[in-house]
Amino acid sequence: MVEIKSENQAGVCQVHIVGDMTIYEADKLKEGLLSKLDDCQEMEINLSDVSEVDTAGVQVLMLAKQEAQRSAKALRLVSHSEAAMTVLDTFCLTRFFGDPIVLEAKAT
Amino acid sequence: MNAEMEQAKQLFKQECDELLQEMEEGLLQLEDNPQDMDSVGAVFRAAHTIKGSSGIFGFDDIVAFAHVAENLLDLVRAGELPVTGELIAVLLESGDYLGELVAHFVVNDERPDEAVIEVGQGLIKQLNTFMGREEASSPDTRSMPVEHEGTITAELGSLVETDNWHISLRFGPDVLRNGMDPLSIIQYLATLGELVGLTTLFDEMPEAAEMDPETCYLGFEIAFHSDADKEAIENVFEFVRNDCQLRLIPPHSNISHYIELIQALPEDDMRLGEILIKSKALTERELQDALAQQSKQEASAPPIGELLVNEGVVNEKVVAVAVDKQADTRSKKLSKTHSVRVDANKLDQLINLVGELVIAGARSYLLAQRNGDDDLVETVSDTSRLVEEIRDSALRLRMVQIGETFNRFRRVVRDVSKEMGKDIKLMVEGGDTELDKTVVEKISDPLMHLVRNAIDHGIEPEETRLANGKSSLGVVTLNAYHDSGSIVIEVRDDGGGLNRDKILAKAKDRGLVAANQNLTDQEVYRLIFEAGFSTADQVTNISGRGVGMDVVRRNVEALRGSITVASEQGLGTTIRIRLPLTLAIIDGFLVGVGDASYVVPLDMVVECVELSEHENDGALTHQFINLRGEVLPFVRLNEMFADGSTDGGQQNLVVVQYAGQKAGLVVDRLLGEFQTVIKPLGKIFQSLRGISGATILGSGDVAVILDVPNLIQQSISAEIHENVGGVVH
Repeated sequence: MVEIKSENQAGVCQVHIVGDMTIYEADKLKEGLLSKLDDCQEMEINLSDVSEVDTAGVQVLMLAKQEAQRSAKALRLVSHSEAAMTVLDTFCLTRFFGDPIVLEAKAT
Repeated sequence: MNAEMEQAKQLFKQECDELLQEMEEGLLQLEDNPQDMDSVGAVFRAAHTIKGSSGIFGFDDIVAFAHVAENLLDLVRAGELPVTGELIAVLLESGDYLGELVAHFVVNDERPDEAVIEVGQGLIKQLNTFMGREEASSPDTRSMPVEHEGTITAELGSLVETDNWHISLRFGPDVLRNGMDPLSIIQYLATLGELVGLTTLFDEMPEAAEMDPETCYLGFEIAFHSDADKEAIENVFEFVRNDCQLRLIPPHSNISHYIELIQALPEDDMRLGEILIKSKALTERELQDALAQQSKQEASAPPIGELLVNEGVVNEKVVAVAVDKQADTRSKKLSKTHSVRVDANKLDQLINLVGELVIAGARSYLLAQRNGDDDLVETVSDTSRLVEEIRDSALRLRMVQIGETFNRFRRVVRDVSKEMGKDIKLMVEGGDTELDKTVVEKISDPLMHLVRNAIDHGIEPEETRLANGKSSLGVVTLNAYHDSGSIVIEVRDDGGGLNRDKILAKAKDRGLVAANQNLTDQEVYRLIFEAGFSTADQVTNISGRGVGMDVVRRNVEALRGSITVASEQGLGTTIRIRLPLTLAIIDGFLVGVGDASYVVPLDMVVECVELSEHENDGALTHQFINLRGEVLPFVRLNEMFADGSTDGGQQNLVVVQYAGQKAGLVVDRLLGEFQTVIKPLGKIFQSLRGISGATILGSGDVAVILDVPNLIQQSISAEIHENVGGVVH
C-alpha cells in the first residue's frame, strides 16, 4: 500500500510518499504525483518512508522528473530511504535526478 | 511431434541445404578471388540465416556453432581478417558440420552424440583461433596455423581495449505485467561480476498522458566485468528472453560489433556513442577509429569537409550509410521472395494437363478443317497458338539452369584434387543452359562419376605433366550447350587421354573382345563403359574399382540419352553426354507409312527429299543413296517395322541428323508438324528398339514416336554390313 501526502510550503509542493513504490501502486503513484506537479512550480518528494521500490516505481519517478523538466519546473528527491537509494544506484539514475543528497557510489 | 511441426522441419532442412550450398559456392568463389566482397556477404548471410532459423526451432547446438562462424565471417566482411586457404578450408568444414547438425536435428529430437559435438568443438576452436580469440580454457593450439599468426595480430589492431562485456538491453513493454522486474535482473547480473558502467535509457517513455505505469519503457547499456562465460550471462536473462532484446558483446571484441550495435539500436547514434564511451566500452579514440573505418569503407559517402568539425555530424553520416545499407539488404531480401516454392508433383500435374490440352486442341483443329468452316478454323488455330504458348511456359517452369549443378562440383574437384595431391581447376562453361529439372537431378550422379574419373585417371600427376611440357595446373571443364533438340553435357580434362592399347589389352584379357578383332577408336573407348572394366593399375578410394562407368552409361540411357568419348593421347579426354531437353512434350514431324503414322522429333529433321523412281530402284539394292554427292544411309520404315505395305505412290526421304550423323527415313507421306505429347510405352514394349514412345493423334489414332538415334545407328550398321546383305530388324 502506498500513501501520498502533500502540503504546500512557500510555493513548494512537499510530497511524502509512504509505503511501497511497486507496480501494484504504479497507477496510483502516477496519478498522485502528476496531478500535484500540475498545480505547482516546485516539488520536493520525500522518499524517507518508501519501503520498497521496483522498476515500475522508478519509472514513475522518472516520468515525473521528465515532465517537470519539460515544463521547466523543479523536482527534487530528498531523504532517500535505503530501498530508494539502492534502486537509483543500480540504475545509475542519480545523475539524471541531479539531487545532491546522494553520493554517486559507482562510476558512471 | 505433430505433422505441422514435421513439415516445418522439412522446410527448415530444405532451406538450410540451399543456404549451405550458397555458402559453399561463396567460399569456393572466395578461394579463387579473395577480394570478392559479394561472396563474403553471401556466405555471411547464409550462416546468419541458418542461425536464425535454427533458433526458432531451438536447435541450440546449431545456433551456437553458426554464431561462431558468423562472428568470424563478420571479421572477414569488415576486412579485418585476410582470406586464406586455411580459413576457407575450416569454413568449408564448418559448413559440412552445420549440414550434419541440421540433418541430425531434423530427424532426432535429442542432441547429437558426444563425438559429433566434439567435432564441432574442434571446429569452433579453429574458428576462434582465426579470430585471435584463443580461449583461456583451451591451451590446445595444435590447429593453430602458425604461419598466419603474424598477419592475424596485425589485422586485429582494431580490437577494442576493454576487457568488459558489453550488454545492451531493451525491455519489451510487457515485461512488468508479466511479473518480471528488470531491477532484480540487473541486481542478479551484478552477482556474477561487476557492473562497471550502466546507463538507463528511457527514450521510449512517452509524455505523461500516454504513459502507462505498468508498461516498461526502459533500456540499459551495461559495461560488465566478469569471468562468467557467455552462456552464464545469457542465462541471467533467460526469464525475460522473450520480453527483451539482448545484445552481448564479449570482451576484446572487434570494433565492428560496436558499430553494428550502434546501428541496430533505435536511439540516436551520437548519444549511443557517448554512452559507450561513458560506460567505458569504447575509448574515444576507438569510436573515432570506428567511424573513420566506416566512412573509409563507403567510398560513396559524401565528402566530409567541414562536417568533420564535430564528431556528432560524422556520426550522422554513419547513420545515413547504415540506412543505405539496410535498404540495400532489404531490397535483396525482396528480390529473393519473388520466387515461389511449388511442389514438383503439382507441376507435373499441370504439365500433364497441358499435354492433354495439346491433344484436345489438335483434335479440334482437325475437325474444324474437316468441316471447312473458315471462322472455326481461325478460332481454333488461335487457340492452338495459345495452347502452344502455355505448353512452352509450362515446360519452362520445369527448366533450370545447369550451372547450379555444375557449381556443386567445385567442391568435389577441390576436395578430391587435394586428396590426390593434384592441382586441378574446374572450369564451367555454358552454365546458363537450361534443361528439365528431372533430367538435371538424374544426371548429377553420373556427372559426379565422370568428374571424379577425370581427376583421378584423366589428369596425370604433376611430374608427368611438367615432363610433357604441360602446365602443372590440370583443368577439368564442364560444358553444356544445346544441339538439335538435345542438350549436350561435356566433361573434359586436359590430361593424358585414354590409352587405347591398354584398354584393348584389358578387354581382350577379360574376353570382351576377340583377339583378332579390329575395332575403331570409338569402339575401343566405348569399352570403358562395360561393367567391371577398369584399366587403373591402382585402386584408389576415389575411383578405379571398375564400378561407375557402366552405371553412368545406364543412367544416361535411362534418360533417352547417349554417351560418347573423344580422346587424344597426351591432350585429354572429352566425354559427351547427349540428353533430350525434356521428357514430356516435343515438337514432332508427322509422317505416314501405309496406314500408320509415325512421329519424328522435329529438331532432328534436316530436310525432306522426294525419292525419285530411279533412286528408289537403285536404293533397293543398296542401303544408301547419293544425296548431293554425299553418302546417306537410310532405313525403309515399312520394312523396318515389318509392315511391308506402301501406298505405291511417290516415296519421300526424311533426312534426320543426330550427333553429327545423318541418315534417311523412307516414308510414304509427309504430314507436317505436330505437337507431340509423349506417352511412355507400357512395360512390355519397352524393349522395342527404334521406338521411344507413343502419342495420340487428333483423330484418336496412336502414332509411334521414332527413336532416331537408334534408327541412325541401325541404318549405319546396315550400310556397313551391306555385303552381308539383308534388312536389319
